[in-house]
Amino acid sequence: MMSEDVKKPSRWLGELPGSVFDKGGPGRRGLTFARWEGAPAPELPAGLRRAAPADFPALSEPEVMRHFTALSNLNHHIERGMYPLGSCTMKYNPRVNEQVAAMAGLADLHPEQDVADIQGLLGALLHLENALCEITGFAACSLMPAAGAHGEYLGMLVIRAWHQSRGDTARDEILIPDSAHGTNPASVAIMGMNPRTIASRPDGRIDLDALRSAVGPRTAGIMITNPNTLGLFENDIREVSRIVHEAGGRLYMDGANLNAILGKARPGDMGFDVVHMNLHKTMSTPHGGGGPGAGPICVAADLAPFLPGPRIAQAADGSFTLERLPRQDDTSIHAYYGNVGVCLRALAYILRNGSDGLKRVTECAVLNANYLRHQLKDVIEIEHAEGCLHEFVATGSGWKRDFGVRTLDIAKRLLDYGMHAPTVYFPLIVEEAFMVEPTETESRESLDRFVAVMKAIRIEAETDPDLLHGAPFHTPVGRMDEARAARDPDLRWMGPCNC
Amino acid sequence: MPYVPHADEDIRQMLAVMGLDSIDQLFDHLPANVRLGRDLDLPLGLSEEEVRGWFRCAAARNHGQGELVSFLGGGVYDTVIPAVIDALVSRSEFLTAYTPYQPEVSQGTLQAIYEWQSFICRLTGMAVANASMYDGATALAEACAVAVHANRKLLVVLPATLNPRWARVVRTSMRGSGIQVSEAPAGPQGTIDPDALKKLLASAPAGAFVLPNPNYLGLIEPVDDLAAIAKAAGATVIAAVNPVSLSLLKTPAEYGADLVVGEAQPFGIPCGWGGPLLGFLACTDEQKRRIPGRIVGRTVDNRGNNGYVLTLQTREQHIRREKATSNICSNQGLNMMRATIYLSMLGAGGLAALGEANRVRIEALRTRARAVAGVTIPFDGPVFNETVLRLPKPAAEFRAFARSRGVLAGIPLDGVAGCGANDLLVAVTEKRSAAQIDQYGALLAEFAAVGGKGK
Repeated sequence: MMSEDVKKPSRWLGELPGSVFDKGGPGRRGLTFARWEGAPAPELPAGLRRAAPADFPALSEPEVMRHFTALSNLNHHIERGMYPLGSCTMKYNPRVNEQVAAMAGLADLHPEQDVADIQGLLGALLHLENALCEITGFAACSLMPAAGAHGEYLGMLVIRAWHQSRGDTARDEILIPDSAHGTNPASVAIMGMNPRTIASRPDGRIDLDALRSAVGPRTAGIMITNPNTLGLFENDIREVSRIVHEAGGRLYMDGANLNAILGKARPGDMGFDVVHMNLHKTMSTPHGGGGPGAGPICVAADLAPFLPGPRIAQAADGSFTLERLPRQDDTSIHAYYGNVGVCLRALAYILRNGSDGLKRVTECAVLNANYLRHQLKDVIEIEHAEGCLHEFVATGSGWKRDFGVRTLDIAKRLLDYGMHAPTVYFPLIVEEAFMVEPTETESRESLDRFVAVMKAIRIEAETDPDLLHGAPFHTPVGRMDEARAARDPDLRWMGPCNC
Repeated sequence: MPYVPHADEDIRQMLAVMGLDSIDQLFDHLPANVRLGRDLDLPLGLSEEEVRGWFRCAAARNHGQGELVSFLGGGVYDTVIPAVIDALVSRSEFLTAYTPYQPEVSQGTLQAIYEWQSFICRLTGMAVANASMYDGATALAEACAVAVHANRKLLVVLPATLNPRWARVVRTSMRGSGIQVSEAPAGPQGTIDPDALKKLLASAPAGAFVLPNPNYLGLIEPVDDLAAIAKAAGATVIAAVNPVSLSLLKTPAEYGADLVVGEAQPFGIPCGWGGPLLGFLACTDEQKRRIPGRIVGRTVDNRGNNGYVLTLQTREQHIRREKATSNICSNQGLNMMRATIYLSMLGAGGLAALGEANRVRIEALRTRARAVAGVTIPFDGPVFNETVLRLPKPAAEFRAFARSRGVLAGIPLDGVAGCGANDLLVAVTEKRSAAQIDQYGALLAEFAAVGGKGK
């Protein structure tokens, strides 16, 4: 690593493009349709018509290409540089995944086609369900959830349906450690149960005494992220499982951090009953600027009857069928089978890696996190002394105290060096949290560059803290006035801004 | 290993830096009672070419709409997808970018979301739209929750003419929250019965009334009357629309909808066996702080540039936790990008052309079907791009017959909104040719003639 390279922040190419609504000109056309050779249709009655045509811009195809290419140039992305985002698992997205999901015969299937026309698809999806069950140590899988939060929601519905099937209707509480991701309490609340926060220990692990005093006849279950949001494994998980099960509750695992344990440990063996996976994290499907993802859940055998249907099954003659379950409508949360296109990408990833590759993924994800943590320990204060799994949490509180520089300032300055910011101010239980997950797809040189950049920023913080307060400087735009955006919302184009 | 850069020597050196000699030492702290202690029971990894071969083999066992002639709809449609969409969304800058939480390095995604919101507002006539939802069905469930929480009347009225798959998702979602659901029946025209709706709303105060347009049977509902009835009864009106139809049809804003949802898959997204799709949600200015999902706003930066940020985030789960309006934490980013590119390509001129292309084709199919002895159109009201055909024999039989000729004939409607076993839902998009519609008519005639019992 050449130190002079580090000191040269990367300059962004391109300039701010105007709005698409300000481009093109009357009469221009991008998309046209096949000429109609049949008879004309009678006029649509005036009473049914909109008063005026929608005011869309008119662009030609080259103008559309140029506009969106200009937009794309303003984005950070995985091929531009590292994304050390804790809890987000921003790993490389293999392009063969894209290729197979787009194949004719897969992408062009309509959800109302006969089972006979989709045998290959059903076989592939069943293969994926079985692989996810093996990876997590469970008996059954639903691919229906369209995202991780959607999976949490389904998991809660399944647990409640199970309690209700036993006539146990008084259980309305789900215990959630205060280190949890915000979707956990939100998922519980929107389905009408009560999230009950339990304090965790300073390392984010569950406090067994707090747990023992919290469980009771109202306990429907507990939601646990393992490894937790500090990248640490719940060492007492079997004991947690025993306590919650004895109280009559079920255990839900938020699988956001599954990248830490592939082939090493399985939620089903830890005493969990349900897990959701984020295929757009662990299984390498692209984030796409915010979706679409997929958040399948796997469950223990006695919860399988409560999964939404229909379920794929294989008949004695080898053909695939869609079986209706009696309770399948009670937990249906999607119009069709789920984000199938995302699931196919994940299957490609699992096939390509195999059992050996998946284990290597986790080993190198954990190696990279520990290596970074080790190399950064003199640069920024690391929260916990013990070794981490796939991610670790540092705190910028020392920088704040010594240099008057906040974690936010460090994050913004990293952007100037061509790196994405880590996850900051989460988990909430760590002051000035700075959460780093390098993933297994970063090379050693890439990790070393991150360390060198952090050292360079630390020197800047010591010598010129105001530089950091104003960062970033080399990005397409500077720090945005977010307060103004919320106070005086401008949410749709009505002409050039006079801000 | 396919996607891990490290060679064994790299690993050895990195471990040495930490004073370790084996990668296993990094896992020493895992409790013994949870360790797997064996390899996962999965095959070893394949080469890229083997993976491609595996999927080629799977795809070859399917028969998609590229191979067959599709008249399937019911919320997901075989539509024209311009090549620029795949060219643009396969750029790493869009494909591999994270959620735009760091606006300084995400202006491409943020501006595209803002433009998507603007397109949806212009299409629906509404003041505010969010950055997208998982699909139309979940968008509707979220809109119902917004409505009942806003006016605190815990009853949602779903009409019998609503897509039954959407109704199922809404019912699941309402069940847990203690929100009741009642059904407004369809009248003989295949649209919501206004008198029955009036009575239903008088019998119990409803928080929300869902108004599908066109409805699941393809029919254009008497939206002005229905919306007026619901509003007079104090219900929030949620329009559930096929956005393609808004190329021509009266906008939800024009008939007074408070919230608008729909499925935007026809705007450049492959059917993909029903996912991932693209829901949208729009609302009046009054509702903007209640709706779920990401919203992008325009503001300024510290250099005086206009720029875009995620805004109104105090509604969202990462701030509000259990008090959030929804647990949603993602949107359908890349599919929203596809639709925004599609709408930009479509433009002012293409929009009207698209609407007419759909209408002229469904009218041609209806004309052709009416001419076949034994086939009727049970609901003769105006349609946009879908219609019900009543056949002389079970619709499932015609579906099987047409399939044997390479045609996907439609969706049997038995039990939906008063339809029987002989009723079939048929969709015709801009992608179907006059010759394909003629072929459909010929199949109907052949089917009706062979052992047809007449009407």
